[in-house]
Amino acid sequence: MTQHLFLTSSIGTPGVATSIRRRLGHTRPIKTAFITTPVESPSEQEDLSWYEADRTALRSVGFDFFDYTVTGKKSSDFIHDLAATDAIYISGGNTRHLLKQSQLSGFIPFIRDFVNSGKLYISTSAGSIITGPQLPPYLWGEEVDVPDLTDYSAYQFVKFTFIPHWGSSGFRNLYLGGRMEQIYAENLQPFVLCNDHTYIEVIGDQYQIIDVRNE
Amino acid sequence: MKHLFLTSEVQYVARAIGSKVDSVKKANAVYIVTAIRDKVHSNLDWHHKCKANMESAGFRFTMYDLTDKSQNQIISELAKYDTMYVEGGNSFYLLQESQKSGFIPFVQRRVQEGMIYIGTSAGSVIAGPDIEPFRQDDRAALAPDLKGTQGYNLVNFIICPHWGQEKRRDLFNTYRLNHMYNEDHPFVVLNDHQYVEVVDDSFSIHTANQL
Repeated sequence: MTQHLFLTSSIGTPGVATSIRRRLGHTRPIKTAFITTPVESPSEQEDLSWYEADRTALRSVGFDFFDYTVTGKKSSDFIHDLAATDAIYISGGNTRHLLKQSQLSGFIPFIRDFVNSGKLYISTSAGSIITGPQLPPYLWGEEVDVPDLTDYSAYQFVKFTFIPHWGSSGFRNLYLGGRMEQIYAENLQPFVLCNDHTYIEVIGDQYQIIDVRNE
Repeated sequence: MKHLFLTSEVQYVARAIGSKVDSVKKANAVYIVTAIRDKVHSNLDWHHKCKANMESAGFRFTMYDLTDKSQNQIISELAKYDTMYVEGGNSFYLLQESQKSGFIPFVQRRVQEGMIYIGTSAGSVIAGPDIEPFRQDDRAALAPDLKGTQGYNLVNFIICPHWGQEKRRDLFNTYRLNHMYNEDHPFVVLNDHQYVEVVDDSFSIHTANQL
């Protein structure tokens, strides 16, 4: 089956969830697992208003979701808990924590099978970054939250690394203060720099960028 | 069918692109050299390699400059080609001459009709919605009659070419990324061995290892 993904910087940005829903071509409720793992880490607890906005946006366009974390799970749990869902949504948050827990729990082979079966994958920020070949090098190295992450290979659904929130004032210092310099190398996969108003629809190995301001 | 190949530098990916274009269309191609006619580019080794590698991949070109052409000339002289290659160089000068000659509506119509468009660097950047993120004052100064920076709008993203090249490290990190950092448009960032293939409204990304 052909893989079908929607990669966003922020599904809570006005117009993004509505646009995705419209592209699905039907109005039936979509049974969805909302993966909360990226927001579990302590570094994410300060301000979760964006997370609430993402949940509200998803719910408002008919994604019938339940919360789910991969942390502490094992492979057989995923088949039991998630196989009957139509879609998996992976939240933004801490990408390193998401990858580490994905590795520990055996979630990576499960999500690959899930996507390859043609079921929907939708994501925000960290959930979009992790669909690439590997984490971008600015997320490598030591970090208090996830000290023992050493394998940066990601889900590998797409041939590029998604760079979210491009151009937003809140990320300017991060990107221009070192992140982009850290990934300035010829031996990396391509990058797609997406602002909060654009998202990527992936069908098989074909990509389309949609800017909701133009719809 | 809309069909484009957008590259950083076609010399490294010419063979891969050549394998995706049928021989009739390869034999009937035009090579737009306008972006290197601004007198800034003293070392054109890269241009000669691009041309040579495209020819090795089976393309046969007529060389063409948009400078001082009228729209009637553009239509009568370029309409017969199945493939158009747009060389890299000064995107501001290229855009100025595209505006003055009436080339932009022509290329937009021909791409919609199925003419294959291949770009290197400036030729890839200009296929997008805006060339402003790649402004360099010395180059823009050579396009004093430029009226706005809107590109050909063949795609809805901007190619950012030559990522990771050591000789451009300072340019990117001290100037260009600052200029690119806004929410106006998405960017696809490519090193010299990567290219984008556009078919209608979708694109795919490829890596070639041609030396």
